[in-house]
Amino acid sequence: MARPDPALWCSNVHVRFPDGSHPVRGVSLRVYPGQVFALIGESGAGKTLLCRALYGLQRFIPGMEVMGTIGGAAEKAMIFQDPGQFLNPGLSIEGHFKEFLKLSPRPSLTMEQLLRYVGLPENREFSRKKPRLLSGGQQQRVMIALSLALEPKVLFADEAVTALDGLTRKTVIELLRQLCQDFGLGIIFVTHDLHVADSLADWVGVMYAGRIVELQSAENLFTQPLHPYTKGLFRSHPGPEHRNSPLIELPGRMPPPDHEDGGCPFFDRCPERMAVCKQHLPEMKELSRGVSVSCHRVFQDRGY
Amino acid sequence: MLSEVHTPSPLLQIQGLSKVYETPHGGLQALDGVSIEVRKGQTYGLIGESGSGKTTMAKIVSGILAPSAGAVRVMGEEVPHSPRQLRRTRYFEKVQLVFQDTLGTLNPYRTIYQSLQEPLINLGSKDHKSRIHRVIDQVSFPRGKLVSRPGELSGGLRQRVAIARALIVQPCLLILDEPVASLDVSVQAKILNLLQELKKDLELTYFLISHDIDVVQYLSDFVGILYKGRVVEQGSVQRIFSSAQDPYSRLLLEVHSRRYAWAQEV
Amino acid sequence: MRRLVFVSFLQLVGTLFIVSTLVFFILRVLPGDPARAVLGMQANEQSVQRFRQEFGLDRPVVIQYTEWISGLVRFDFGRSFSNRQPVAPVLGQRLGLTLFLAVGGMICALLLALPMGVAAARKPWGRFDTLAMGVSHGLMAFPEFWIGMVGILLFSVQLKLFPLFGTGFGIHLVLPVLALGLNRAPILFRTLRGGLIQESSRSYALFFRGSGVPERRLFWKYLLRNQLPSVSAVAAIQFGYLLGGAIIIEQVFALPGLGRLLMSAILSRDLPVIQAGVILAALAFTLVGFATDIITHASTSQGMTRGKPNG
Repeated sequence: MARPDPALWCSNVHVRFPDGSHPVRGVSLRVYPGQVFALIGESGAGKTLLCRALYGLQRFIPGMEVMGTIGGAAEKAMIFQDPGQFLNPGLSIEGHFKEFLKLSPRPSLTMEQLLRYVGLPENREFSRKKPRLLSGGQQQRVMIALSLALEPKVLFADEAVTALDGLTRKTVIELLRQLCQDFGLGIIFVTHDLHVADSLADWVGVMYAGRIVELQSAENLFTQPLHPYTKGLFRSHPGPEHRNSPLIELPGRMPPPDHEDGGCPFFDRCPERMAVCKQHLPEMKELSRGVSVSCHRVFQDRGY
Repeated sequence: MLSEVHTPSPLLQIQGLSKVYETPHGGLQALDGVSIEVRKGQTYGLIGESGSGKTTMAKIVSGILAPSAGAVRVMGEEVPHSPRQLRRTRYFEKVQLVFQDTLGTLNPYRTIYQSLQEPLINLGSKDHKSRIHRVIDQVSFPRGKLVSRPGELSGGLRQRVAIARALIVQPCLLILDEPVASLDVSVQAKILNLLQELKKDLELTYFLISHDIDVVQYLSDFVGILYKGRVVEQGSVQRIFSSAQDPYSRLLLEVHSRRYAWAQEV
Repeated sequence: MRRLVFVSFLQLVGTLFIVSTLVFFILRVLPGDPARAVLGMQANEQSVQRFRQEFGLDRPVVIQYTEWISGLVRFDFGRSFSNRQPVAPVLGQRLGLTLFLAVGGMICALLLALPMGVAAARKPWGRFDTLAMGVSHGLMAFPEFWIGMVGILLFSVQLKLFPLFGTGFGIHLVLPVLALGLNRAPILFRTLRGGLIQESSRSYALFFRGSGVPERRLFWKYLLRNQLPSVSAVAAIQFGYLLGGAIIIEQVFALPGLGRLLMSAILSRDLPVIQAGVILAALAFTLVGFATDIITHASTSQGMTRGKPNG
């Protein structure tokens, strides 16, 4: 089956700062139209900076330097966690739409259509409000509608539902999935929340210390994780299995963003480490179609 | 289970608790006739989304806010209604709070040692050093970092400090208000395990308030679901998670269900 | 809003009452006899007595006070000791020039500070910003009368661009206004620059930039607007300094403003004029504060609902 061109792809992307920190270290990925690619990982893994680099925000972030190749559609939009902070507190909802519709080359949608699409009231009373008068869920919907005004082919979402409550979160996730279908949008979704990745993603990349260490379809990743770090994340997450037994902790901490490259960055914490892991950084290898991992143990077990 | 029938009055008893906030647009009912009982050594987990009244709940039980109606008793004694009463009745020796926002609740300009010393000075107790060392050993906080300031610590270590600060007055009840909400999964696991160990070792009772269903399920013996100021359903953790009756609780638990069966072999 | 106006009005009346009471009694307890000061040391006892009678200075202080307050309510500031004319019209004339200087100075300061603040904040510690910070530091260090005197030497005496003297509201006022503006612009510039840098690092600025809103538009239309309340609060305080500065500048440029009137009134113990001048100054300060409150209120509270507790 021939795949469409990716809506976004990148190859060997690095992010560096002048102070020697190197938070993203050689990431390659592809996001296809109509699909959600989730980047998961703990804080400090580099997922937010990778997302910002792919979007091209480095111009506005002092000192941030991006290397590598980034390609795909030029029409991009971004939504963030805590939408209340990302909307101008002094500007009405209507004012936001006026500004954003102006940015689109040939706006084909009106504010009313956009508001209706994301499930918000279209009346003046609503659109004249200032952002802080809206609930968190409404703010996130406004932000989604604003980014739709730019008519993007790729939507970047950074922890976009983290601040929302369970029920609201579910409806926003459903809205995002709907966007994918209706507009053929590729979504790259950054989150630390395994639940969100579970309910939203088609593909999942697990980031650790600046690299993607495992990349699989969501179903495979959740049911058959390969990398010891991914497995460790699942084991330490509370769930029904843990009811009467302690959680299995991951010892140690993630290396800081300025650590020296050497062996596998997960070596110190890995329950399955081998001698080779200390010396040699495992490459990212595609084991089978759509299953990539970087772990010497997995390579050995599978005969690579 | 039989022994439960004979247990004397519960450690924490909340009866018909209501709270109405006066606003320019009329009264706002934050809590509406909530009744909860928690026995010694148990963990009661209250699940609530924002706006459900859970923050109000934490404030009233910790004695810094007066309820509009109803009563809260700890070991049979009525909980104070204001910070002033709280100091006079020394309620804080029995009940302590652990918050989510550890950075906001620790003074950024004071060392960890000074922050831990504060409640002891307040109590007029002596022998600060050995008590502080004992409590930070309990929460596995490295002694070498007692001279650090909160900003220099990781989120996990800060949460250990917050727990240590609560434990230093040797309370019998801890109110855990979203204790792990801002932590990463692997750090969260360590704090959850720590909370379980402390509960067993120090015979603590927990009143947990959280929106995180996984965390509530993991820590609690009894679970209540708070919705618009009312507890719509409560029962043992097994009962709630296997056969919730109330439509809201069913919806909440269903939204939380997983699409895939996670590989979580223990 | 209506409540705010009402409260502010009460505050205004209260402040004026307290100020007028204080200034009245302070002037009465100060040593020295106004009659002697006005008539001269050589005046005979008879004319001194007549003077006291004419202006009611021989009556008990409490009576004088009640008369003065009841006059105030009718905007009657009494008569000047020295020329025996009613104080109010003279004061009104003089006030016009001082207000012109202060308002002109403020406009001049704002015209300098706003564009420079925006330009500097767009590239913090860039070339322009570093230069502007240095210059503003220098300007802050020099008092307005020094700037005024250098201005006279340079533009009037050497280059002969502006006349040294003049009447009415003419070109001779350019230098004094400029001196006042230059002296007050640095504070406004620095406030605005700092506020804008902070505002531009806020998340929504990133969202707007990332979505393609041009920098110039972002700064002028959105960031600046959100900073206006804090800038106008600082500007209001600066306006007070400007009034003070205007009084000094009037001396440097020999302009017939309120400042000079007050100066001579103080020297000649012309109590009614001093009292009226102080009350006018208090009124100006309170009115500016009142205006700032209204601006801040209007720009921050649109549709604000308070009192809904969290959780």
